[in-house]
Amino acid sequence: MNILLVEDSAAEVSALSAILHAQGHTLVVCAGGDAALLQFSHQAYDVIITGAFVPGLDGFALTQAIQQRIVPRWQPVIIVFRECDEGLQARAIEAGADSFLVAPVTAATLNARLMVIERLQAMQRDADARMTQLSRFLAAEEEDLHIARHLIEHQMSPDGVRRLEDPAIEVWQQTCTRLGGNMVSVNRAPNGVLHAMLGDASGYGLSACVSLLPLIAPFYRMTSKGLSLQTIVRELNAKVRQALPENRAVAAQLVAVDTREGVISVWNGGMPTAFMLDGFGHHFMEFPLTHPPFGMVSDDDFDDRIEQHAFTRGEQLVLVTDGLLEAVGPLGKRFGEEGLAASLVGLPRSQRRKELMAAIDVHLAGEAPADDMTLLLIDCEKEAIPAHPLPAKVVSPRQLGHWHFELLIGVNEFSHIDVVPLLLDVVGRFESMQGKTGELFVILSELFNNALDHGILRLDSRLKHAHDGLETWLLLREERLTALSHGEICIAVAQVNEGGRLWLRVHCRDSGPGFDVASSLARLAQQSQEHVDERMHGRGLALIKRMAERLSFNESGNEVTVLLPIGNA
Amino acid sequence: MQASISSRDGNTVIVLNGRFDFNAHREFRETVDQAVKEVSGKIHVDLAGVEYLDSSALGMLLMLRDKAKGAGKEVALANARGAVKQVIDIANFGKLFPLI
Repeated sequence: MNILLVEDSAAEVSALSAILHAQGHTLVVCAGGDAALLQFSHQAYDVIITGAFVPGLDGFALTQAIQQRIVPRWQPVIIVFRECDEGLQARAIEAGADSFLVAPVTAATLNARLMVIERLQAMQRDADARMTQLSRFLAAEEEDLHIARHLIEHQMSPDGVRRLEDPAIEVWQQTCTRLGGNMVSVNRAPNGVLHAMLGDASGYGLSACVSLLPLIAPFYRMTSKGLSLQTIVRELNAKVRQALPENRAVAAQLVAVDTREGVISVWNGGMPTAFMLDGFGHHFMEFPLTHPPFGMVSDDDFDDRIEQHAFTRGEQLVLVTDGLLEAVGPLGKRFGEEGLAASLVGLPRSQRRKELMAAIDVHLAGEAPADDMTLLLIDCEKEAIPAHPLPAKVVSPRQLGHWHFELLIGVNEFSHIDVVPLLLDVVGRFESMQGKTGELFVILSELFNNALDHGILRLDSRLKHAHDGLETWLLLREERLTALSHGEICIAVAQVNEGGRLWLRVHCRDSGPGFDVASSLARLAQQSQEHVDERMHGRGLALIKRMAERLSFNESGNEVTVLLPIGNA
Repeated sequence: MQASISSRDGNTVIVLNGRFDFNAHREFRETVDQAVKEVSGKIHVDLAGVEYLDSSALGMLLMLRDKAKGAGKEVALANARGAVKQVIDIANFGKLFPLI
């Protein structure tokens, strides 16, 4: 050891040096306290051995001064007394010495004391090293969290801007200190359909956030391209499987809100049940967990089926992460579905988020949440479709490019007049329509056949799918047509010149009770451009929807309007 | 619509003419039943003479495809043009039938 010996008596110095040198220690000797303090400020020593009453600063004052300087570490000091005095010995310990010795000092006692000090020093060095390591880890952890927050906030959209300002969306999020990996993404498809994603990665911190990354960019890109929710969830599952280690899954819920058709679609993979509140805040519809989280199943086993529901006005979809439901207050009680329902149900839309924030505050009563908590509220407001899809105004028949005719037929005509060619023949005589009757044929044919077969004759398309189904369908159709006593179909075709463009408006109304518009349109809304339908039926509306600018129904479904662009005026 | 059967390069060809919609069902079905029985090669549906085609025609083409599959034959759609081609494209029938 490297030892500083403070002693003015030559006899003492030589006695102690003999012992210390014998043990192989190195030694610096100072004759007084002041010199020793100066020496100490230049160089560190493993141990200081000082006489109690050395000149200048005495042993006690020297010890105190040294210990003060070296805080928060500890300097081992041994004070040597000429005689045994318990009062002085107590003072030595108070001053900050480790131990004391009484002269004449024997080799055995001195070596024993030094050995104890050596052991303590080894322990201290060990503890120091661990402290350094710990603070390095802590700094790294903080850096990770910083990166994680940045990643999530800046990946919320490809351009780094959190696009959560959609007017149909309300988000409330409280992250826990470790970051629980909750994420909300919102984007609109080119046709105005709102897509929202609420994700919850397992684990905490950077690893949770990194798990979310494979979802974000594809979600924005595919939504912007107008791809369907089903195509998107399938791709996200594949992406998570590609990017993350096996068995690392990400729970997520994806929602599509089509305000034009009034249909909401939900894919729930491993998230808590989402539910709809009506305009009065009554709970009326649930979207429970139906699929495993992303990354759990292979592409082949992946199930892209979605739950759908029609809405009209004033509904709101409520999505939460489990961190909110599992939030535990000081009494050990979870917030739970009851807490959530109690804070939302019965309230008007505008107050729900605030009420929930207040309720969670009361519930947690100052406790920090153990996981991220997220609430996502999505307004479901069906657009009011004007009866006339074009700007309503009085149209003068003399206006350039305007013409109009309608055909009203009843029971007697249904089987005797081939309606579609008749209409097509009339339309084809107008100059603007020459060579453009192909699309119109499809539209007229689908509309008239739907009106007659489904609207009036109430035939079920699914018949066609059975073995010899088309034959059965045909027989039943003729049977019903023969037995029919009343019913009528009116088809109106008009050409209008609006905004420098020519449009063909086809309106078809039948006297039947209509059909379930919402669910048919919901199915259509989910079909992507690449959709291949192998069924024997149900293709007509899809064809019209892709050819026409607009396809809209009245509420009951027995009146339909199609708007077809036919070129510049 | 008129439907007839001929044979070309060892394949059976169903030649359709006119308006292909629900009213053509019987005629089409009879022709299909006959074509599927033919021993030779693949079945080609020649759409060159088809003026218009709607969703029920698409359904009937699928019926033909099912029946042909049952008889171990492939069905291809030939010479679709104009509005007919457009409907076939919109319905992505190119993924179900070879288009020639």
